Amino acid sequence: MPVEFFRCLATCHTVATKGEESPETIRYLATSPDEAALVTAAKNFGFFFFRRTTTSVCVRETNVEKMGMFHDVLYDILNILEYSSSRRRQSVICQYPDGRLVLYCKGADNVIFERLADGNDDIKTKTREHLENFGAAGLRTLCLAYKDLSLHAYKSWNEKLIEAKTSLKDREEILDEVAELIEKDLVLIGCTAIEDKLQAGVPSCIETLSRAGIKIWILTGDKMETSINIAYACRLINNDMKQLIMSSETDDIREIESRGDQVEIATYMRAAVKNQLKKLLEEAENSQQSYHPNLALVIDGKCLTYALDPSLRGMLLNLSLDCSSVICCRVSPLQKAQVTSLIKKDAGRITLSIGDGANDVSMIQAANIGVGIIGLEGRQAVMASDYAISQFRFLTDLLLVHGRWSYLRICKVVTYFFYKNLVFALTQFFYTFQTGFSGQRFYDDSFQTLYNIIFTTLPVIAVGLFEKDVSASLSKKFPELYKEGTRNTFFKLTVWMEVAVVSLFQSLVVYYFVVASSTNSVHSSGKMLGLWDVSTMAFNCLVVIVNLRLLLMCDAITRWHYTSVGLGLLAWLAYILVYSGVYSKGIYSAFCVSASTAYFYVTFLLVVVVALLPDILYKGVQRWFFPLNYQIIQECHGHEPDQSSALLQIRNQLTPDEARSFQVAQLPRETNTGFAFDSPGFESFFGEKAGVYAPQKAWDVARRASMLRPKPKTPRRD
Amino acid sequence: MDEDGGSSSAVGIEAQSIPPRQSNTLYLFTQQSLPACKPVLTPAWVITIYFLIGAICIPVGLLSLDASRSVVEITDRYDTDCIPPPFKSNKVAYIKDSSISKNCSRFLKVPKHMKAPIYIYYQLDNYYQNHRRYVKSRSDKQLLHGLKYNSTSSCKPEEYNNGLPIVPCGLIAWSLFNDTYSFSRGTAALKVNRKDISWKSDRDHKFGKQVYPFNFQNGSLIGGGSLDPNVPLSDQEDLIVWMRTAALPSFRKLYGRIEEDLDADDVVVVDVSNNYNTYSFGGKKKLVLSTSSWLGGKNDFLGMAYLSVGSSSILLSLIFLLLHVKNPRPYGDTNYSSWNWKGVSS
Repeated sequence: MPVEFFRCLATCHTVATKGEESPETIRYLATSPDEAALVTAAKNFGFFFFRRTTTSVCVRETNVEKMGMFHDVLYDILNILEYSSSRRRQSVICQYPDGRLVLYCKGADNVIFERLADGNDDIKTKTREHLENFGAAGLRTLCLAYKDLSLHAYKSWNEKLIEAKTSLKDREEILDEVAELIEKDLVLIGCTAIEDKLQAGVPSCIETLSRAGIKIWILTGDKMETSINIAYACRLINNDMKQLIMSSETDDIREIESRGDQVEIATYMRAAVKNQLKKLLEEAENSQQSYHPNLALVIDGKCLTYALDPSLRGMLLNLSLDCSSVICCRVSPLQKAQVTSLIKKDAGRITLSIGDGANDVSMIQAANIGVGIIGLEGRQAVMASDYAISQFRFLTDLLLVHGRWSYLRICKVVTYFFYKNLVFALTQFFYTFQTGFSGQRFYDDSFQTLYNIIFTTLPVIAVGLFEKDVSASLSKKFPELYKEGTRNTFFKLTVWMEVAVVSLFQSLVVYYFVVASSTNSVHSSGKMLGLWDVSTMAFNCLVVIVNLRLLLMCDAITRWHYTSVGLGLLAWLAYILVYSGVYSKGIYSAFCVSASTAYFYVTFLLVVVVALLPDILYKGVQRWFFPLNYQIIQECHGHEPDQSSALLQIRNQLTPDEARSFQVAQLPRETNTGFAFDSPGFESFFGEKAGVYAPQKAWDVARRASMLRPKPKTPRRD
Repeated sequence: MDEDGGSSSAVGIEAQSIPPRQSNTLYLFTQQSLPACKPVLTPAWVITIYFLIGAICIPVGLLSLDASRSVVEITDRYDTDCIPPPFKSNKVAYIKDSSISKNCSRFLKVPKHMKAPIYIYYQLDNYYQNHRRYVKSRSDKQLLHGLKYNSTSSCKPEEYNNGLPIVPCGLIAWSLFNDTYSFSRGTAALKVNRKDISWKSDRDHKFGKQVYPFNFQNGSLIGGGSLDPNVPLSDQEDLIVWMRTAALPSFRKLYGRIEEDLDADDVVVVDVSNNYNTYSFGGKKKLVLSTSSWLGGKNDFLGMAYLSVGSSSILLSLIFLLLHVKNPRPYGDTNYSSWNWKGVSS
C-alpha cells in the first residue's frame, strides 16, 4: 500500500521537469505549488520523478527490499483526466512495464469518498480521522485512491473516451460523464496534507485593517476546518467571538445525498438553508441586543449556493452585515464573484478583492477595487487586477498610506478647484448687477482664459502630488485614521457648503473692497481710475488670495509648493506687465497706472488680510475646539524625528563597506513564498499552463527556524 | 510654522533596504518623502497671527484715516437746481432747446481751508458707462492712427456720417460730457488749469499726436460735446478723461485744478453751462471740489476697514489668549479623538 501511495504521487500530476536529472538539481514546474510539493515529497521518499515524455513518466524507484538499490521504471501514461473546479479531482491511467493497468486518482476528500468501492472500512475511518485532524491543524488535504483495470474494461472505456473527445457538442460535459464511468469503485490509499503557510505579516495586517474599520471576508476553496483555522491564525476569529456556522456536512444532509436524488437534495437543502438562516439571524439580533461579543459567520459553498438565491439573499446579507467577520469556504470562483457583487450591489458597500490565484480572477473583477498578489500562483490574478502587490501585508500600505493620501489629495484638489472657480465667477456675477445686466465682463478676456490655465494651475498639481496630513508610519500606526475616508469626512455636503461660503465671502471682499476705489480719486494728482484699472486690481488680489489660500489648506508644504505658487504669481506679474505694455486695447497700461498709486498697495493688503483672516480663524477654532483625529496625531507625533530621514543621515556617514554590510543585513531574512493566506492551490492546478517555479524546499524546517531570529538592528556610528 | 526636515516614508525593512540609486531628490520624490513644512495651526499660532495682523492693521488704518480726514470735499448737485422754474416739469424739453441760455450760477461755501491744488470733478450718477455695448463702441486703433485705420465696425452706430468716417468714432466719444464751469471768488476769477488731467500713458500711447477730429458731431443727433478739429486727440484731455470708461454707473471725472488756496468761509461762485442731457434717463450731475492726499481723495472706507479689522483681530487674540491661559487644550490631547485610544497610543 505505501508503494501505491508514492507511485500515485509520482505519476498522478501534470508537473514538468527542468534541469539535470538528479534529485539535488532538478526543478519541478507546476501550475500549483501544491502539486510540486507532492511530487517533491514523493522524491524525498524514494520515488523520484525525473522525466516526462509525451506518453510516459519516468520514476526512479528505490528498492524497498535492498537498501541503496534503485531502478528506473517507465510508466506509460495512457490517459490523463484533467482537473477542473467542478470535478475537483484528477486521474491518470498508467501502464506498468509488466502490463499492469492502474488508475490513480487524487482529489478532494468528499469527491474521492463518494467514488470508493465498498469494504476496507478500517482504512476509510482511519483516513477520515486523519483528514479531520489535518483540517483542524489548518492543513490542506487531498485523498489518493487507485484502481486496477482489466485490459478489456479499459479498452471498451477508452473507445467511449475517444468518442467523447471528438464530439462536437458539449464536449466538456460528455468527457466528465465518461470520466465518471471509470472513476468509481476506487480503493483508498490515504491522504496527504499540505501546510499553506501564511505569508509574513498577514495576521497583523488583517488586525490593522479591521482596526481601520474594514470588514474582512475570507472566500476560500479550502475545507471548513482548514479555513476556520486560517481565520484563527489571521486573528479574524478569536475565542471571544461567537461562531455562527452554516455547514452542509450534517448527517441528515449526507443521508439524503447518499440516496442520490438530485431534486430531493435541492429541495431539502433549500429548506434547511432557509431555516438555518432564520435561526442564525435571530441569534445575531439577540446577541446584538445583549451586547454579546462579535460574531463570525462561517458558511460553506453548498449552503451558499442556496443562500445566494434571490429569495434568501436579503437574509444572508443582513446576517453577514451583523457579523464582524465572514468566512466562506469551499466556494467556487463563480461564487466568489457572486458574494462580492452581493456586498457591492445589494449592500452598496465599496468592496476590495485580493487574491493570487486564477480562481480569484472573477472575484477581483467583480469588486470595486481588485488587487492581485504577485506570487507562485501565476499572473492571471495580477493581470485582472487594478493594483498588484507582492505580498499580502503590503495591503496596509496600499490602503492606509497610499489609499488614504490619494483620497485626501483628490478631495483637496476637487474642493480647491471648486473654490477657486467659484470665487472667480462670483466677482463677475456681482459686477453684472452694476452694468445694467448688459453682460459686460469685469476682467479682460485673456485673464479669464489664463486664470485656470496658468495663474492657478501649478500649485494645485503640487497638492495633488505631495499633500499628506500624517506620515506613512503614522497612518499605519493609527489605522483608525482610515475611517475618515470611509465616513467621507473630507468630501461630504458640509465640506462643500463650507467651501461655498468661503468662496462667497472672499469674492464679496475682493469685489466690493476693490471696486470702492473707483468712486473717488486714488492718487495725489486727483486722477481717476477706469474700469480696466479697477478690474486689474481686483484680479491681482484674486490671484494672490487664491494662491495663498492653497498654502493655507495644505498640511505639508514642500518646496515645490512654494515654487509653484511663486511661479504662478510671477507668471501673472510677467503677463500683466507685458500684456498691458504692448497691446493697446482698453487694458493698456492699466496695471502700471494702478500700481503707481499708494492706494493700490493699501487696498491689496486689506483685501488679502480680510479675505484670508476668517479662514485662519475657522481653522484655528476648529482645531482648537473640535479637532479631527488626524489633527491630534499631527500634534502628538508631528515633531518626532522621522525614521527614514534619520536613516538617510546615517547612511551618508557610513563608509562604503559599512553601508554594504548594512544593506546586506537589511535584506529580507525570509524569501517570499508568494502565497497569500488564501492560496487556493488545488483548484488552480490547471488554472494556468504557464510554467511557474516552485520553491525546492518551500516549507523546510530550517527556513522556518530562521524566521525566528530577531531582526537586525540599525547600525549606529558614534 | 513648524519646520522640520523630512517626513517619513514607509517604515520597516522594505523601505530601508532600497538604496537611493538615483539622485537623492528624485529618490525622496518617488518615495513621497520630500522634506516639508507641516504647519499646525495651534492656539499659540492663532493668537500670534491675530495679534500681528492687528498690530499691522491699526497703524495703517490710522494713517489712511488721517489722510482721508485731511481732505476737504465740497459736493454740489446742480442738475435740478439749474433748471429755470418754468421748465421744472419738462426738463428734457429745456435741455434740448438750444435757444435757451443754459448758464446757471452756483454759490459754494468753503467749509475749511482748502490747500491748492483743488481738484474739480464732475460726478455723474445712474450713468452706465460700463454697459457692454457702450464700452466696446470705440476704436483704439483709430484713436491712435486716425483715418489711416478704417476697420472701425466696433464703433457702430457712430462709425460713418454722410458716408465719411468719424474721428473719434463710437458712442463713447459721441456722448462726450460738455458742461463747463468757471470759478470766481468775490470779484476775482479763479484760474482753472485744465492741463494734465489725464494719465500720461493715455496721452502718449493711446491717442495719436497726429490725429485730428474729423466729421465729429456732425450728425442729426448730437450726443454731447464737440471737439476743436485743429487740436490733435492727444491734447484733447477732456476726451481722454471721458474715454477712460468708469467701472461703476456712478463715477467722477477730473475736470481741472484750481491752483490757489481757498480759505474757510470763502464763497466760490461757479458759472455752470448746463449743456449735458442727463434728464432723459434720470441721471444726476454733481460738481465736486476736493483737495488730495497721498491716498487720493476723501475715502474713509479704507481707514475704517483697516481699523475695524485690526481692532477685532486684537480683540480676538485677547479673547483667545484668555481662553488659552484659563482653559488650555493640552497639545495633542487624545481625549478629543473619536476612538478609544487605550492600547493604541504608544
